[in-house]
Amino acid sequence: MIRRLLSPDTVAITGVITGLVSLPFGWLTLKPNRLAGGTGLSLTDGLGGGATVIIVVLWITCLALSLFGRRRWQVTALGIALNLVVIATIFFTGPAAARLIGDAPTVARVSPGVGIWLTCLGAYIAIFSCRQRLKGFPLWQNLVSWLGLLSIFILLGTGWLDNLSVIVEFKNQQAQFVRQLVNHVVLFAGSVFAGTLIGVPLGIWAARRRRAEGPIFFVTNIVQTVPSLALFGLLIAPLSALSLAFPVLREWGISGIGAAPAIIALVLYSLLPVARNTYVGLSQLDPAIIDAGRGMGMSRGQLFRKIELPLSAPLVLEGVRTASVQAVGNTAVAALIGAGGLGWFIFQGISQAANDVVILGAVPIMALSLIVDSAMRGAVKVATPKGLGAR
Amino acid sequence: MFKRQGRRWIVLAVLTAVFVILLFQMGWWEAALRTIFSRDDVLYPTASLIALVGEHMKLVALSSGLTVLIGVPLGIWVTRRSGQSFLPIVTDLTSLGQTFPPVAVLALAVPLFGFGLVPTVIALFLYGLLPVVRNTVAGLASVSRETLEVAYGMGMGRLQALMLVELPLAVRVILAGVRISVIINVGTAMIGAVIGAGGLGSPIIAGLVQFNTAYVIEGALPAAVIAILLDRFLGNIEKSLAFSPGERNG
Repeated sequence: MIRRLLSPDTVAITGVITGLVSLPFGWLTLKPNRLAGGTGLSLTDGLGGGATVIIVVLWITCLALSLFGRRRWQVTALGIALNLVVIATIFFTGPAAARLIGDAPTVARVSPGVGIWLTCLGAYIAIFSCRQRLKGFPLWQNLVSWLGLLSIFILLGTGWLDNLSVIVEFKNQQAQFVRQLVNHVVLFAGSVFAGTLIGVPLGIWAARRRRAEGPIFFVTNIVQTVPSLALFGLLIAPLSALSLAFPVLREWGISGIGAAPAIIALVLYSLLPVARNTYVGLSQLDPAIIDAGRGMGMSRGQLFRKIELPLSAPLVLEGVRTASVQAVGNTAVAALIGAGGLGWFIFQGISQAANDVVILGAVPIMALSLIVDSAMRGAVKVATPKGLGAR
Repeated sequence: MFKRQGRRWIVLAVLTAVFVILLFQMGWWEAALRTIFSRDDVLYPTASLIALVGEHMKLVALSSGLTVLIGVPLGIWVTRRSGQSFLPIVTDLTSLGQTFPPVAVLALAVPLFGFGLVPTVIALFLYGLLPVVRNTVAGLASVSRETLEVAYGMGMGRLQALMLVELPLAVRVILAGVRISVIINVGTAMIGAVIGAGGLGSPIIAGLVQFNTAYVIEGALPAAVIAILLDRFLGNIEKSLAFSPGERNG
């Protein structure tokens, strides 16, 4: 009985403790201009007394709920309280930033400090735990998962956070942002697409001809091992030599730096995951199934199209997923050789020592890779034939 | 089978020796790069190649050491009874961390730790953590219940079973994770040059800024070779630990 009453959820408690630890840190950073060093402001100085009371009370409520709550309504209440912490934090940050910027609205910058990041991390950990315990109750689970995120999007949309430095930088460079975002997507998606077009036949070839298997995977493995910056670098010299020798290439925009070496490197990187998964997908097929198909009088082409391809499709797509997520990240480095993409903001931010600009590049890259990852997971699920069951 | 393994090690040793000798022959590099690029300033002036390689290896060694020291115990802990409830969140956070671009990790570490070595090592450590933790968990999970029951039946305690049964059975999978992590670190350490950590990224960055492709090659070629040699080295260790020699693991 006592055990049931006091069976604390250690993961949620860890999250809540992280949240409580965040309280004494600096919550906002104020810079007189975007290049100057910042001063950290405590929770009370930054967000104000009222906000402090609300956030502290919310965190203590969370602590109590995480210590005692086992029932479904208690877990849901904890999840909602955690979301409220995040919402309150972000909500009060908006007006606080406006107040702090005060009379220097164009040059001064206010950005979230360690305290806010830690509070969000703590809330994330504890919310994660609540979601796990609410499995089987999709309504409550979704509420707990999305409430905070949705509110942040609403706050962003209504301009409530417009005085935060990241948003200020975004507004200043909106056209550039859209351009580089499109650039990024085109670079990684185009490369993975081309990599799939080459990788799948390579995988099929390796599965059909045992002699080809060794060399194919030896080479793709080595390519995968080479660091991205090194591969970009190694492609610069031959490409610039080529574009000097053949002016027509220059007309097509192919030169040593820029998009051409980036695309070639990204295509090369996506070969291994795609080819290997195609190979594994084809090799693991039960020979009895193939025999059955042959017994039904199918030709080789029919066997391939109607049996082998559909049955190995999930694994092939899984390889494309790995390649895509990897390509989103590697494209960030491609900005260094002038290919553009969201990495442009990261390097811009480094050279100007402006963290907000770094974040302006990094967070969308992170979001992009999460979106691509879950979209491809969905595709894998759709492509899995019913007979194979849930994988 | 032992013959094949011996050959693998000999080939690797010879290749490594050739590479190291080449690293010291700056004259050869200069001559070769001058012929290719037909210009005089072909060698990165700030540091010799061997010094750059040294810096690079230092970054990789420090961060990979830290990754193994923390990643393996973390992976062990989340598979024990006391840490089991943390398994999902640890898996989730490490894979979430992996989606964050390493360049950005480096950039954001600067205001907290300053420029140079420390932020780079910390960023590399965080970035290499996922494969080590994931493979430690997978390796330990692959040990069957029956095997464990037998170990306990022989009178082993939990710690003994872990040290004498579970870890030896999982060590190959764990090492595969370490290998992935080290290779990731070799690559990410290149980018450390952007925030002044030195290493083989520096000539590449300098070459890109000054439009001197020779510098880029001077950094890129050794980095690629180091990554490949390290990969083979760790791969060989992994294979020599195989319990079933016929089996190969991607």
